[in-house]
Amino acid sequence: MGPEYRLGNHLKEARARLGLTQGELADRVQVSRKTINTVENGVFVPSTLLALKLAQALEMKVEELFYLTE
Amino acid sequence: MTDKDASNRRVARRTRTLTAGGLFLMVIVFGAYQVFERLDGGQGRLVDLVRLAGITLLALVLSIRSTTSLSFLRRDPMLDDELTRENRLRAGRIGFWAMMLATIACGALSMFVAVTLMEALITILFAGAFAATLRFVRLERRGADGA
Repeated sequence: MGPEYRLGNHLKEARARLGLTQGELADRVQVSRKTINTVENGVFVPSTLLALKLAQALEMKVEELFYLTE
Repeated sequence: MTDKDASNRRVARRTRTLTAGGLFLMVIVFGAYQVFERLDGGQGRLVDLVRLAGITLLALVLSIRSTTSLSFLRRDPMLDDELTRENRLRAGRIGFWAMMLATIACGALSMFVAVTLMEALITILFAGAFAATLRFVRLERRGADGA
C-alpha cells in the first residue's frame, strides 16, 4: 500500500497577508466562516471548486495555496 | 460587529428557527393525534398511522428547515455550504447504521417479547434520527470555535 497523503494549506498565511478575517474570506467565496476555519485547520478537505475559489480570492495559484503532505 | 458575533448570530438564528418550527409542528402533530384518537376510539390503526406520519413529517420538515433561513423555498447559502452538506451526508450515514442496528435489536428482542410493527418502526426511526442529529451537531461544532 502506498503512502497516505493529507492536504496541507497556506490559507492562514495567505489570508493574513491580505489582512482578511475568516469571515471576510468566507463572504468572498460564499461559504460560512466555519468552513474556512475547518479548511485552515485541515479538518475539512475542500472540493476542487472551493479550492479554486479560495485561491482566486487570495490571489494565488491553487498549487501554491494547497500542497500534499505524508 | 465582529466576525464571531455574526457567526454566533447565525447559529442563534438557526437554533431559534429549529426550536420554533419543531415546537409548532409538535403541537400540530399532537393536535392531529388527539383528534384522530377521539374519532377512532384509540383502538384502530389510523391513530398509529397518523402518529408515524407526524413523526416522519416532523423529521423531514426539520431537516429541510435546517438548510434555510425562515423560508421553505429559499436556501440560505451560509447554512447550506460545502461543509454543511458533507456533515449532513456523514450524519446521514451514521443515522443509517443506527437504523440498521435498531432493526437488528428489534428483531432480536421480538424473539423474547412481543414487539408490534408500530413499536419497531418508531424505535427504528427515532434511533436513526437521534444518531444522525447528534452526529451532525458534533460535526458542525468542529468549525464553530476559533477565529
